[in-house]
Amino acid sequence: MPDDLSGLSRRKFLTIVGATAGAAACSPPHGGEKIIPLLNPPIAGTPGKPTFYASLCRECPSGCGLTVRTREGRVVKLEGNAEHPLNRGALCARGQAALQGLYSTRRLRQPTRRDSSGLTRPVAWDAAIAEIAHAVGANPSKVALVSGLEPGSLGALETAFAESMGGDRLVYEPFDLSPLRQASSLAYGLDEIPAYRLDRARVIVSLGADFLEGWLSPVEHARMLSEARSSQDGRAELVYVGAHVGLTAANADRFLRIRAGTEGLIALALCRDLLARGPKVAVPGQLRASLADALRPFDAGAVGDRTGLSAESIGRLARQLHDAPSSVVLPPGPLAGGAEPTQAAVAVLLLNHLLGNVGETVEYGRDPARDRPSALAEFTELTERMASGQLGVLFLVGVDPSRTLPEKLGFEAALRKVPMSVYLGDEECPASEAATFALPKNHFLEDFSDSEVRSGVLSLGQPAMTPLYDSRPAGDVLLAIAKKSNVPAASFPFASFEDYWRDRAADWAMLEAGKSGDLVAAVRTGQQHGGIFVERPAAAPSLGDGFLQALVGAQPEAPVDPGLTVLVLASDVRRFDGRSADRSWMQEIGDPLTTAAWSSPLTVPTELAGKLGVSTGDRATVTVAGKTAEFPVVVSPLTVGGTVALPAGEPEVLRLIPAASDPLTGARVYPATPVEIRRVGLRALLPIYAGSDRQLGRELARTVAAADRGFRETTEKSFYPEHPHPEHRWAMAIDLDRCTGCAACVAACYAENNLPVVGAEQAAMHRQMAWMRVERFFPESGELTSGVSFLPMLCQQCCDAPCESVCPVEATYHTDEGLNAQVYNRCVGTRYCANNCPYKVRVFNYSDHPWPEPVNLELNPDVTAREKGVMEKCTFCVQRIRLGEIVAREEGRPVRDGEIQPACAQTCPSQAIVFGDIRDVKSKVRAASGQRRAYRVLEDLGTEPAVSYLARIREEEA
Amino acid sequence: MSTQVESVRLLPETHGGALEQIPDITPPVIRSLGFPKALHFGLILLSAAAAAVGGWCWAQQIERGMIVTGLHSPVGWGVYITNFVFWVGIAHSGTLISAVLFLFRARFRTAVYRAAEMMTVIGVMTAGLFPILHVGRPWFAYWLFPYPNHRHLWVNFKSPLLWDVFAVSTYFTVSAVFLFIGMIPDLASLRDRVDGWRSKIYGLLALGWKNGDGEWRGYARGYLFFAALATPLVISVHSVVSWDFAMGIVPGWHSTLFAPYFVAGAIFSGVAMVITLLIPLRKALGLEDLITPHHLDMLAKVVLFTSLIVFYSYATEYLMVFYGGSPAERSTFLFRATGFYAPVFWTMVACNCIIPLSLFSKRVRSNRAALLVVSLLVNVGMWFERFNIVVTSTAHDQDPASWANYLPSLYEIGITIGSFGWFFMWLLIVVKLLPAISIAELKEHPLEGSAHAH
Repeated sequence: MPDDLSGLSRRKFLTIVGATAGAAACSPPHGGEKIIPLLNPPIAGTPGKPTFYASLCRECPSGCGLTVRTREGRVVKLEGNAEHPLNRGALCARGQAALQGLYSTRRLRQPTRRDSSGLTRPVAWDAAIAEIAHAVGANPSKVALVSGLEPGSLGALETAFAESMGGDRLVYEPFDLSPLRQASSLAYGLDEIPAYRLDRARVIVSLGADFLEGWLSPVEHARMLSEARSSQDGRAELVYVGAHVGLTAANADRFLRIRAGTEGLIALALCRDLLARGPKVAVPGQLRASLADALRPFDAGAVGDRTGLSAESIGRLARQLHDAPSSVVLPPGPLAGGAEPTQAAVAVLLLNHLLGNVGETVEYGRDPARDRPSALAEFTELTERMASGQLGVLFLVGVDPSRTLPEKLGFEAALRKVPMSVYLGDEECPASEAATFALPKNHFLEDFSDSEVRSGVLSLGQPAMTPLYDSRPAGDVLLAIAKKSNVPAASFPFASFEDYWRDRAADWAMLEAGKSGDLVAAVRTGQQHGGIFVERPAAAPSLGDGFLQALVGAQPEAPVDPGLTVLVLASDVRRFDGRSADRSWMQEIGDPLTTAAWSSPLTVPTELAGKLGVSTGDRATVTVAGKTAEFPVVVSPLTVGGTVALPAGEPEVLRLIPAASDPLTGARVYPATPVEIRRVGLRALLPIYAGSDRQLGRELARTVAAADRGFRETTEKSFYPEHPHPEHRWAMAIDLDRCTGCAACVAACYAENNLPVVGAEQAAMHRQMAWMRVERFFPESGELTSGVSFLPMLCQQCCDAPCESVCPVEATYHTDEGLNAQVYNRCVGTRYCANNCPYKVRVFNYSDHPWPEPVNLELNPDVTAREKGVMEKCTFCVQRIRLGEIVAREEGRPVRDGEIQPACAQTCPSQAIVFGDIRDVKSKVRAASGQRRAYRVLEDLGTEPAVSYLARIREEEA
Repeated sequence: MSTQVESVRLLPETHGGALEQIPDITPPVIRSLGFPKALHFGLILLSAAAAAVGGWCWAQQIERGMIVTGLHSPVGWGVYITNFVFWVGIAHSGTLISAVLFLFRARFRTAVYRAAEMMTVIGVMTAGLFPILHVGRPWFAYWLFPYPNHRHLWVNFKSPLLWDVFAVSTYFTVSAVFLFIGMIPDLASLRDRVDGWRSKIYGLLALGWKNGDGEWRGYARGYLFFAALATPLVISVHSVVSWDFAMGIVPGWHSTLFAPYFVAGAIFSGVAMVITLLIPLRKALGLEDLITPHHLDMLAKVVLFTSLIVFYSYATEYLMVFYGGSPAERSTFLFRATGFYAPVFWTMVACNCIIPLSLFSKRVRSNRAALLVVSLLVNVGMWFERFNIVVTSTAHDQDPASWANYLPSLYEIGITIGSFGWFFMWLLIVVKLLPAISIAELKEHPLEGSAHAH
């Protein structure tokens, strides 16, 4: 040590230290640093702030409007467009899962060509287009193009393209609703599918129309049903007549079970009864006489024998319809099991006419019929041409008919025989592998689109992000091929599909919206709002007598042998016709009724299961018309007698059902068919979520007899002081009378909160990561005659939460805003909280979850991704609450009621979920929670939940 | 020198004049120490191998997550917590025998308490593994300790799991210290009788014990106080463990009966384990003259007594549930007896309530083979009892829609086997290093053990 330091005295040392500290304290603040703004800010906008694009959902033919949330240039969440007249902000589970299509690992990434030896290799776009154009030129009039329903510019372009090549465009839609259009045409001379205004009806009778699952416009229907049920004029009653309890039937107030496919007969019997009782609209004498003639064979007794519904029930239903101030009867959907849907649709239309519903609850002038499916026979013929080499070039644009056409047709094998087949789509599929060229098209979220599914509603879609891969707009590819081939250039005077789209949108803006000024501005405004929406007057149709021909000769056939086992198809709310079957969210979220995930079980009624010797979880073979496939079995009360059901969302099922078509329209039908079922010895991998089919007296999902009935107020005082909530207390009210159990909320939660998907094996182990589930309870005893209870279950954000007190490290706590927060960083994973949660809404990460490229892009940057060993849970989308609070603070105002919405409440098609600050006396959630019907689940445990449920209204069964 | 000990210690009056009947105590104990025989060594290796299997399973669990277990929603706790409670229960008998019975002057304890204490300490060491390896992120398990940190994070003293941390760590500390204190005179004795490095180590551990009068006076007083201090722990540690469940609101857990019921169950299983271990050990270590059938008979009576308490508790539990009228609780208890886990329940009833009744027979108590079988079955039954409580309650909670059954995975079974390996490995090593019998105390009551003493 140096001498001078050793000589330092204590006093001197302190002096120096003191002076140094003083000098440090007096030093000037850091000054002069400048923040230089970006000269060229990124196009995606401010990092950290979302950008929204209005667009259009293309997951099913309904055509709902979308609001696409993007962050840093990538789409992270889809929501319904609040301005869109069809869905008004709501979106179904399948729509939520469209995001997974965009970020699918199975996306086609570059054009590929399969050579004669079967090898696939990448190819340049220009070379591909040149070769295809050459083939088109070499095969005049031997060209065909198949696509899905495209009620917009792309469909028009496809038709023009096919015609210019001298070929046909075929529209493939497995669930063809043409019979509805045909019925209108026969009855009124209007080539339209009417719009059914459920919201205006007090009695809604669905004759096998699964309008909540996928029939016409499920999101719109769910909203209308919800409105009808909460109407000021009294609650509407939904009666479902059918063979199988699907989601719509489960939501009915009364379920009348009939033999599959006999809905049309019920309608005719009702018509006959009404005609006798006195129709509500005048029917000209001669027509009335011929009508009475045609309906003579359909007395309630004869129809009762055939359908299995008692004459008394038919009479009661007719009386109910007759006495109702307003009603609507919905015709059977393609899956109802009828062999002649046009006839049934005519019968229902007649029934609606006699009830005076046409023009009231059945509106015409709504369907522009921009695009229509081709008949099944056209596909049979196409397949023959393909197989026999008569077809030179085949384009498949966005569809793969081989997935769902009857396997016996042999479409896939025929596809391999076409000298030049071009699959132009998003994702890998059997067709993309069999085709000569597999060309990646832009996902609809990367592309311009439009559709007109309703008169006066032109929905406009636009790219919300740059394409992920070397894909092109489908329209551009077709235009490029047309230009290269020997088609006259004048046929397609557009540089790109975007030009074509703009041209059409501008036309529409001018013609339909009556805008004559700045068309570019009109289109731009339309783009911002998701479309151009104008009110159109409804048409007033008059009944002709053309429909009689559909009824002539109709007879109630002899009853089928009740000893036969009959297969019906169950509408699938998660997978539709199988087009959403590859979306892992849709597989992981269980079926609303069987609660089976990752599988397509055969539902077998209890008695039949006893006879066949099968139980839930067994494997069984189903043989239909000589073709056999294997499915897992679920024994359930969804069907009775000899009826079994398979989900229509499983492509395998649609391929199994033999080809059959409606005699009047040629639309493919799926008639109830006798099947043979055999048990196979193996146990299936069958994840079933429901731990119990019934509530066993626990009163979790409650019912009340009428809207003004309720429960006694609980006045129990807590031993503990109340939690202070100085500013907000976030709360939720869920109306079980509105909830349909469709699971859109669950899908929205997956999207918003980065919930991982665990797969079939882990789901079978009950390790699914859903923060929210919809519980399904069958009635305590007896048949499913008055519906099924659904109970959305999410974190109840208890005031006195059992989970909070038991966490040893305080990883979970009650916030000042009434949320039960979870600190992922702090959690050590004792799982004590989950054990102690009576609602079982805490989910544990049993492993790390992979987010492979490009799935990682779908992650919401506002929500942490969790690691293995950590407990996670719902916090009412705390990130959305914070965003709302920040926006309100920046604008210097209090948070508005309804401004903040968790993802589940936002997307709910039936608006069953109300969210808000319960401290705000004017809030909707406070009003809802204060209703007589309001109760809280397991209230006697004293957990003080922030979620109130409004009991389902259900008249006591006599 | 042992003669020194004998010369300064006065024999109790009751045995005055019976000096010639005292068995030679020290030499067999010393003979029992040292390098193990082949069979013993083989068993150590086997146990170590089992422990290694458990270790490998745990490594897999850390690497892959709890996915390797059979746990799921709603069953968050499975065989790990079952094992934890089981091993804490096993660890119970040591303190009971050494402290409580010491205070009650139950002299039969003399021959067996050391082995029981060793079992206790090793049992807690085994039990202590499970809270760590059952958590999702064991690398953060230390967060359960309240330690000062710059993030001002603190633990939640309301959580029974935290009470567990304190209860178990306190119990471990006290029982380890108690074992060590009780061993000091014996260690000094060994120091004087062995050579080389072993003598040095024993000498170090003997803390300079010179066998003086003053030392004995202080030692006896200290031991008494220690016993008094340890006694409440017998009650507290398993009461706290029971509160892990009783403080929850899960039907089947939430019960005021749990603390006394768990303590009785712990003594029951712990004493049964002592019997299970002593029967082979006394033979293996050649201590048959010192640990006599009389001792086993007395232990069997404790097992019988606690079995009756446990039986009574089960009956009370059911009575309260059906009298109480909570549908959820009724459902859970019916589920236990008739549902998926009914075999577990009935095994538990058979092993804990029915089979121990055979101990009313003197013939069973004096037949070592029969006693071994009964005590083994009691251990099986008590493991199943804990499984029954831990698993069936969460599997059948308030919301029927969430019900799902649990079965342990191979990894969990591997870790369970590993915990037995770990326990026996240490036990087999320790009995070769430290005296499994208290030389000093046995000399104090030399005839207590012999068959003709009473």
